[in-house]
Amino acid sequence: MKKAFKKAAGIFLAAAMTTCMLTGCTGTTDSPSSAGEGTSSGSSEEITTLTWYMSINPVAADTEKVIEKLNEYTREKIGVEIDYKIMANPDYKEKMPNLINAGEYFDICFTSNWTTDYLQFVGKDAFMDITELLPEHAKETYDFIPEAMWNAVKVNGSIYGVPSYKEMGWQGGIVYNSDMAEEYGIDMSTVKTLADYTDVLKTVAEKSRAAGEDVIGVSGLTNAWEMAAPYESLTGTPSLPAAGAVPEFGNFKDMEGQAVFNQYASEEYMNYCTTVYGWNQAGYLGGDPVNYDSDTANRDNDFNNGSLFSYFIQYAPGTAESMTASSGHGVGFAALMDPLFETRSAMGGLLAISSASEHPDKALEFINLLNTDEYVGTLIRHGIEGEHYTAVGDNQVDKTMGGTLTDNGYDYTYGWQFGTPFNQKWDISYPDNIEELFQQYNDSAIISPNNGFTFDTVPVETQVAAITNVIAEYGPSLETGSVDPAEYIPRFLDALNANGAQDLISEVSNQLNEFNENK
Amino acid sequence: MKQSVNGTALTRKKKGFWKTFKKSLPLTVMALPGLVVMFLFRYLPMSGLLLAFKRFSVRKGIFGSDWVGWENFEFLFKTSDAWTITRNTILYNALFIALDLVMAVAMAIGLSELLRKRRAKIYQTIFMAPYFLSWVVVSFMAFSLFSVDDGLFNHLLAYFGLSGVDWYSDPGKWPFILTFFQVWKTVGYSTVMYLSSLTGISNDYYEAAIIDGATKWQQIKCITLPCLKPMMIVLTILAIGKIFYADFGLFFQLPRDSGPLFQVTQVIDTYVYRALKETGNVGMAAAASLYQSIVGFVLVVGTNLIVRKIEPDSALF
Repeated sequence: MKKAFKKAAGIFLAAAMTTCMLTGCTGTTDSPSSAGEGTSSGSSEEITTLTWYMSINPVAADTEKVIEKLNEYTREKIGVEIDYKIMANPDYKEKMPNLINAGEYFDICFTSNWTTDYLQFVGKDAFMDITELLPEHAKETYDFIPEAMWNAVKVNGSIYGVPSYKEMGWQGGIVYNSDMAEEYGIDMSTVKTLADYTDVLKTVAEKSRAAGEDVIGVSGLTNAWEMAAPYESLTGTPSLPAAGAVPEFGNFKDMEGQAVFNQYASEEYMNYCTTVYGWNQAGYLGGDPVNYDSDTANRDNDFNNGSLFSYFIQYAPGTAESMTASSGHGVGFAALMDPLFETRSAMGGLLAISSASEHPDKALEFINLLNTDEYVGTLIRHGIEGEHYTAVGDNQVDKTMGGTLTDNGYDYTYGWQFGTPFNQKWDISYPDNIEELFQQYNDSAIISPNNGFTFDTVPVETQVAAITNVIAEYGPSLETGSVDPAEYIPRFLDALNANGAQDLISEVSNQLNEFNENK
Repeated sequence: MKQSVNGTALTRKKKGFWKTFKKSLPLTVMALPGLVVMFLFRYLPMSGLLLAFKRFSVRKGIFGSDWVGWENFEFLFKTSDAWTITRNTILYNALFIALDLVMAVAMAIGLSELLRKRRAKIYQTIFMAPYFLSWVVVSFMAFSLFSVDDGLFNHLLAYFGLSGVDWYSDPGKWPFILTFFQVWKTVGYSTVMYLSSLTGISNDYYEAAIIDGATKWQQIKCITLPCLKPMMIVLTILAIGKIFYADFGLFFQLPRDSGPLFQVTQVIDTYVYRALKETGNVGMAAAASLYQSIVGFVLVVGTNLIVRKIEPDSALF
């Protein structure tokens, strides 16, 4: 028995030590440029293989073919071959954090604030600091992406990922069925705020009921609150109670003088909730807004066949045009705010390099191609010319090859996840001046006062955990007008305070002061 | 079990270690794969428990990360909902254990008394079927009953001229709904367990009882139930060990994550999930799970101790 125990103990210790050694190994690449591969120019004979974990929906059938083509090109151009590990978004969200936590080797991975959280893994030392390597190995990209974006992705002054440069910031508003608006005599250009929309919803309800149909007025309310009263989310998670006012919007007057405040305690929140509660009471929301919102396929279907008049979205240039093509009726957009660029806006998608990567220089060169090379950008987004699309003019592609849109083997809606749409050709459903539209949008974007500030949640993680639960309990039902705000907002605020909302706010303002002092 | 233990103890005294070893070699070899697998998948990963006391860094690894003491456990107790989640977890599970025991035993006896065995098999299969459904599927079945717009119940209410109920924001109804679905889903499985031990009861007892003129009820009370008792105790002790683990699917999927219901649907598992899905803190997740396991362990050992005091023969260990 004793012997057996000793043996078992020995095995256990050996196993433990190997684990230690393995984790030790992954931790050694502190100084990335020391990977003695030689400089980027002279290594064209030597092929480097880069492991790239990518999240995109859905995984296209012809991915392998396209990557083969891509490898042909990159082998020639920068001496790199891609070992492409692609997962659909839902899979990636579950698997990638585990792979990183387990110390799996990779060179490049997709990260963002909605999957495989960028800040979280920067905090865990998973990504490499590329501040100094960038100008050296990806100069074109470094110059091409505006400084505000680089500032936004900085954590403690260092850059850990290359952001996807598309529209700058986010703009909230309402997409609506413009054919129906015309039919009912609604002038959407008068809609500037949420309160203006009540009359529109009333008209829709009255006229559609008179015609014997029951058209749902508006959906998508789970995102509408921050569009109705935009604020700067200082924690990077807009639902957490730590907001900053953006002077250009002229809202949150009752919070004046506070750099960081609890947006749920504001007059604006009460007004918003009261308005949407009124909508729900009047039957404009279809009875069960929370569950209706969660089923977007059903929503799109209803919108296309005319039983839903409008919904709230975060808008990007060209969306209304491409929705017109896909929905079979006219689609218009009424903005509720100018675009707002804040720290989290740059976190929609980034490509990060592993802190354990042996080829950070090559990885950056490859990311540079994704962002600047026309051929690579179009290939990775639309596939192979003649097989997956036909070129239309210089800048557009037609993907209807055999007549169907979805069945061509390689077709991505969210091509910006690969880098930037600016070096990718556009689908013909977009207007041909799309790049100008993007430019206009980006020029009109308001840069938030504290752009570049990232909040380190570690000191208040306990409170954040508790507050997240409180918000999940009250937020969705209040913000979709399901419950009476006069009764529930006071309870919501009490629960927030009981779980340390004040600690969170004071921690945010401390860190914010520090950030502003060091600026 | 007991005999074999005594047997080896005796032989050891007589023949020494090697003889015993040789004799039990085939058995040892047979057990070995299981032991190795158990060691690899149950004991080796326990070193990960260290994470509960660390701030995890990918680069530093599990063993190299910094110690933070009990900090990771704080979020479980510092919330104003600590009482709610503990109460919900324990009371629901206690109720489920009691109901499951009573219903499953009653159904098992009922099924075994059915004269036509073919029909008993059919019923058994029907009761068992829900056990294989995923909670996600069940949640959609429930949604088709409770949906405000299109739900069966609201249509029925409308048919009788009553106004519809907003099921997903009325906490008062959910303790019953949750209990119903839990029992509906799991009772068939437990019934089969009891049925299998019912078949092990010798017919001689019943024949003797019938000759003595015992009624059906007397037979059940004096023969069936006492014979089922060991099985009941084992299953209950095992269930009590899991009393601090709530069924995530039941409490998260069935109420469709509806905020107004949290007072009656928030349990420790859903709380931890909601708290950590944003921050993804590995250490806090490990802390929560360690806490659950320790409470479970204490409860199993405690219950077993009590059982051993009252009825030594039925104790698990």
